Amino acid sequence: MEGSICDNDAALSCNEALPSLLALFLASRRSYQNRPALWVEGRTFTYSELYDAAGRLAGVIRAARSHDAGYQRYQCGLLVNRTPTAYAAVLASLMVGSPYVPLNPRFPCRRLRDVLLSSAVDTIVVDHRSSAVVGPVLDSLPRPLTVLMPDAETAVDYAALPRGHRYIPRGEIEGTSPAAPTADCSAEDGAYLLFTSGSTGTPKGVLISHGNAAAYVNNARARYRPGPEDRFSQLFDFSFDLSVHDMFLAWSSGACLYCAPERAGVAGLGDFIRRCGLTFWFSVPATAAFMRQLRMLKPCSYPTLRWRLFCGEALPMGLARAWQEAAPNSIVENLYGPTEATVAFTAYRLPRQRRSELDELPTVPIGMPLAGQKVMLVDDNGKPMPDGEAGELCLGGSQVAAGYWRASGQSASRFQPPQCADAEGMRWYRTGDRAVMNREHGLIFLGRIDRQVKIRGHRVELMEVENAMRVAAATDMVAALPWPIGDDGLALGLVGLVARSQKTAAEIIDGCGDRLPDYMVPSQIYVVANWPLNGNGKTDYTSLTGLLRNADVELQ
Amino acid sequence: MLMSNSSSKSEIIRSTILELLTPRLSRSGFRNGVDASTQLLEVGLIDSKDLLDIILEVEERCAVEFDAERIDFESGLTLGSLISAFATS
Repeated sequence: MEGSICDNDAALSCNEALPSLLALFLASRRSYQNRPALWVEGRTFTYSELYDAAGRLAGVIRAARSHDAGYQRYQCGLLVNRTPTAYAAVLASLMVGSPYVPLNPRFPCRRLRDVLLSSAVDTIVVDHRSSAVVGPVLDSLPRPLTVLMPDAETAVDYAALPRGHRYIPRGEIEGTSPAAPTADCSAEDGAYLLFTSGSTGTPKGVLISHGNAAAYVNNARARYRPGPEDRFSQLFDFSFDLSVHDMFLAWSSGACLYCAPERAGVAGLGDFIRRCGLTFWFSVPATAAFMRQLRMLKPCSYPTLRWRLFCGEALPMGLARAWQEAAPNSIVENLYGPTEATVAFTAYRLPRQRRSELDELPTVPIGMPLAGQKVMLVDDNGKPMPDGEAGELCLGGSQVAAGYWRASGQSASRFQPPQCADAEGMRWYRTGDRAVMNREHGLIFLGRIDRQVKIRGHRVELMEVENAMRVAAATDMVAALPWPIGDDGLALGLVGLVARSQKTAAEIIDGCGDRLPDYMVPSQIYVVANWPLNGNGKTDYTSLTGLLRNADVELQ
Repeated sequence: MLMSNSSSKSEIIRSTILELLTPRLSRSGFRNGVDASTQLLEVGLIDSKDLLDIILEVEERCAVEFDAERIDFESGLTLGSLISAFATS
């Protein structure tokens, strides 16, 4: 190790590294065509059935675009929950060579319209659980879209839908010839476009290429060695990139993906693991913390699990140890990585043996980079920190995206290489996370250098929440803070604070709900009589947190 | 009519849950009320954090313990299944 750079140049022990997400699925489809690929809404789909369903959607998309020579620059929007149609649509997008753009139907229509306007989506697929939001999302959209509704009967009520778009119901899709996958997909072509919270108030798009995605999945295959007998959990919405891990790690190995029904929530997850005989578990720590609070982590509760992976926010050490006892035949790993570096970039395997110097840490280390990737800790000027000193974590390698979607200014400030010769020859991303390298356990996460927080695994720029609050409260003196903090040290939600406002708390909360996903909406609004300012005349967030802790604020 | 200890306890749990759901009903604009078979999560009446808050509050107020092993993940979470998941004996 030199300076604070640390790499993992270990060659992939997996001999079948494949170049794209679709290639990973197609290889399994050839070998395991009659084996189950997907269990969702109580139904099982084999690899062949899933391929055929995707091929039909791909055929319709291709036919609708046939008049446009420039179709390859377009993207497919997926207005879907976790349904059979959703998974077929992911594969269909890849089959026609288009990146897929998840449109989470739980997000406010205004936000979904922003995503549609920012992206190059020309086609959207809508499933049966999302049809109610099609109208509000497409209403007044300035460009016409092709809208595939594979779950809708032929008699769609077109009069109730916005005009100017082309709606294609189930009957028309079933009558279309399936399309073969596009053969000319390159590593630089986009696989998916995700939008994350942005401090300016507008979501930032990150286009992940097939090369990025395949680098991650091939790394994960080599690390976890899944096989066709494995059963993977799938808890994440498509707008969360951890869903890519579940889908394509399972489908690259002939395994089956099990989608947790949302109707029982966290309380039903224990039954879900046991009855489905899951072998791979992947969740944010917040889900695990909820399960622990509901006493669902009793020793030996989940003997079928081989792997328990956590990602998305800091993993409290006590929580990881509780899971280790609940699933004694499995290995716990803590993964770390921002969307910009494709799913996860570093990993730490928690040893079974308790060791005081490790177990005294509040959170599980985030470990070392995955194969072929590099990390470096830098100072404010991008220069490497001396060994053992904390710095901003930079990630370099084949998993790092090319930049933000149509945002060259933001890209230039974040996708910056460290100032040293060792960093040349690859893409780099400055995470905004502080970390320190521990010789034995690898990287240890120390927190953010800005005001980004994680709420139940979702990335939230507090400035974006505050921008929405300013509009809703019609005042400038506002603050958003992660609160309350659970026993595990994880933020359970957000609250808003205002100096004074003519608006009621309900009006402010509703106003935020019109602009922000539910996990970003403050659950309560507090009034602060004497707004604390620091020496520069800026809001003193430390003092505000102290007021909350001491209950020295009033509910609006 | 006399009620057994467990049925009266169930009634207390039921009324406590309904009381805790009341502000969420108005917040989510849910006008149809809640019956024993309403899917609480599926209709968007509560989320996972709300569920946790309700369970912990019922445990504290009613001196009962929630048993997640009584929840069937395919049947979902209704008022009825939530009441049944609290050990009352």
